Amino acid sequence: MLFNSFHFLVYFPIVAAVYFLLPHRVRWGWLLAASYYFYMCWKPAYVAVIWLLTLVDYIAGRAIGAAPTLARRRLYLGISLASNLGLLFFFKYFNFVNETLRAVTGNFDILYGIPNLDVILPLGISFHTFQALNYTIDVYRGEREPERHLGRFALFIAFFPQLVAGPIERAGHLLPQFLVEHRFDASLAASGLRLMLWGFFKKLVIADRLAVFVNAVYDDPSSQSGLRLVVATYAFAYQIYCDFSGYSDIAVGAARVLGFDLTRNFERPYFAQSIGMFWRRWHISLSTWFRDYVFIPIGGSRVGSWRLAFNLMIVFLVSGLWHGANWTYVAWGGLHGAFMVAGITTVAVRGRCWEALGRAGRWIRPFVARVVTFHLVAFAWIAFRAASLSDIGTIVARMWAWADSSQPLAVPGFDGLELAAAIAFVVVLEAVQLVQERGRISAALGRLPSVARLALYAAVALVILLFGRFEERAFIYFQF
Amino acid sequence: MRSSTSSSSAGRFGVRLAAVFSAICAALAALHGIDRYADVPAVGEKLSHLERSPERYDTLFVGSSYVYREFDPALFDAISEAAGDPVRSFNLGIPGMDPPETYWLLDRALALSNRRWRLVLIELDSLRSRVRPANSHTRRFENWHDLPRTLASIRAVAEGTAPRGKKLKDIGTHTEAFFRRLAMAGRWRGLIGIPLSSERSAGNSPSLGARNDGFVSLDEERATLFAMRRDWYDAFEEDRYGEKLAALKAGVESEDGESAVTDFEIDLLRSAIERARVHGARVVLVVPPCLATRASLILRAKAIEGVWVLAFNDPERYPELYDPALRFDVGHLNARGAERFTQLLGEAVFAR
Repeated sequence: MLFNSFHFLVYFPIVAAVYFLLPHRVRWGWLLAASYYFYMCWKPAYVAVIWLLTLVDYIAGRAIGAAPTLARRRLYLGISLASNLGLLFFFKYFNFVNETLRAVTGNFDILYGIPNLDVILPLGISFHTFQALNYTIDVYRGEREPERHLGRFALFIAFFPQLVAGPIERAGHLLPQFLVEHRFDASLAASGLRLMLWGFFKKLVIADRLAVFVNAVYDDPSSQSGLRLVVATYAFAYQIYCDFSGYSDIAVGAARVLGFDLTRNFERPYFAQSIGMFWRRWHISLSTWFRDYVFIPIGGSRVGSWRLAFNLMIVFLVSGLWHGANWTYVAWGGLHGAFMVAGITTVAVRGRCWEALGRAGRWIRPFVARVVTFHLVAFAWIAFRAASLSDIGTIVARMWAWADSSQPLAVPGFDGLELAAAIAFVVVLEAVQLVQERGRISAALGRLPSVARLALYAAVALVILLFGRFEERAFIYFQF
Repeated sequence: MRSSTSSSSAGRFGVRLAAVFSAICAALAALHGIDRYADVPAVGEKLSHLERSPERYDTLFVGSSYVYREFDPALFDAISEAAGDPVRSFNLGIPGMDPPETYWLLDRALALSNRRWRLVLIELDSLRSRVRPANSHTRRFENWHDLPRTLASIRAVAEGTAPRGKKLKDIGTHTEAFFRRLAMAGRWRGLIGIPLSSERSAGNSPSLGARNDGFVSLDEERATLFAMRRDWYDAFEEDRYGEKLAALKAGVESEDGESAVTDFEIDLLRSAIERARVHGARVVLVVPPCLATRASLILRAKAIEGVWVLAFNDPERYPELYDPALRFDVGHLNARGAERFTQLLGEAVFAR
């Protein structure tokens, strides 16, 4: 089920109302049933994958907790890792590896006969496998007790607001919340609904509007003018941000209405003044997952500079691969890794340059840093959105000749008026985020008279209804 | 552990939610009042044209592509003048339209002004009981889903012959379309009158035709798709046409025809006729020269008091309308066929 579907508008109030009407002891069952229904609206049979993961990790967690020796604990952790990553490999990476091997062996005229698998990638598998993994690893590290209640553990894996596209919750954060008896809290519900409204605005009004233009341009880059490619790249930067952060806002908001606190996944990432800062603001639950379960275990930052560069590159290449089974994602991860390494190695030189500029340097530095960071991120999005490595080359090459074409900017389904509307809404987004960056938006809203605040909510809802694109486009991160 | 709240804050929350909801509903109601469906292809153009020309027409012919492609208002008007009963007609045919959308469009057109209409011709067609998946998320599909038409569609689906799963899905689709229409989902361009795929120029809109009377024969279409349809018919479909024609002559209903006619369907037709009569119009039900018998529908329609039914889907009586040389494709007449059909229709209407 998509958040941006009519189905969800019917589903969510029913789930929330029944949840608060039921006694606490059976609520987990209701949420679990609702979560499985949410998932089964896509392909019912694939819920079996979630059941399998749930059972394996539940048993592994219990076994790790009860294991008398370190060797046994390692064995059970290994079983959990192999099951989760094996499943992920089977569905997501087998064909990619197979195709790569076929291409490599083909270059040496070696006959390679292993056929591709004819399977569909289960929705959100990358998210729920990572969520399950953090549980078994934390139990293995002794950071939490194994969960004894199978139903609550199943709910931890399948909780519908964050099941298919995160945030990737830590067991220590979400599991205890299922024990809390949530009474209906009007202020939490209002705050949750407000966040959902903002998420719908970002998804339906901005992301899905820009998607029309981005798809038209990026699906056939070789016949596009440089200007179109430049504009589409900026547009994609906002499309993917509004799409994914919109999803996260709706997920966090929906959970908040029910009384749950999910991890904030985005903190205005395009305000970041460095790539490192960007990754502390973008897809926070994944960044911290990689930090805690990959980067630190392989040595972290308390190593020599070469080793640090190596560690960073490993994390970003794996992160790229997590996003998709395509070399373009690896290239995207590699670019970010390279930017991080370059940032760290040049930090002293850059600092001296800014100091040499004196007061003027201190004044303009944050602005320049933001602009440069945004452009580096936007440039890397080219690799993320392009269909192939050769497309990346085509796009970058054609961008340099952006002024050479008389091709109009408009594409079918996206004319000048749509572009103007998109720009206007992005300006609104940035203005709101500027207020958020300088303080709490909820505090600013709280200072408004109640009538004005309600009128504002009604106006935002109307803008979403009238200006939203309601083609029910799937969220981009569903494919991961 | 417990998180606490008071019932009064829950009550306040409910009141505030209701206030926001009411404000949204009031704004949407106001916007519905000014909606002219400008973003709905063909429908918006034809309704806008009728609204802009309040005194120009006194006769409407509403129906599907059979009407749009085969009814020539200029010729019809000339025949009426020659018969001493001049009318000024407009082609309100829309491709792929069938009841209850047909009745919705007719109501909209009749309500555009306080003028008296002289003649309303309605294509006699079955109530659509299955949703075509390709249409289900179109602006046009949403726009005719007002409450009466949505309830009618749901009832038609429920009483139809589709498998239960398809019925449930179709009922869901109609319900969703109703709410999308109510919420004016994504309709800003329609409200400001600038449709997205605007092909309007200073001259005629495509669906209004060269004479601005709503008629565009298939031969006038310049798009490659139509040339392909024509070539396809010439190359491969004459045999299929022959088979369908033979079936029609034998009285066998085509596969897309509705087999059972319900009382409810006739009630809808009757009320559409009544609403047209309120605007002063004489109503004629017309079956174009299609390849469906619509036999039971014709029989039931003839039983409606004061209604005149003209059925041209009779190859024995109107052999020229089924001459392959007058066909553009299996279903439709070409320009010469449209001329012949309009002539026969005009003569039938004004001979009376």
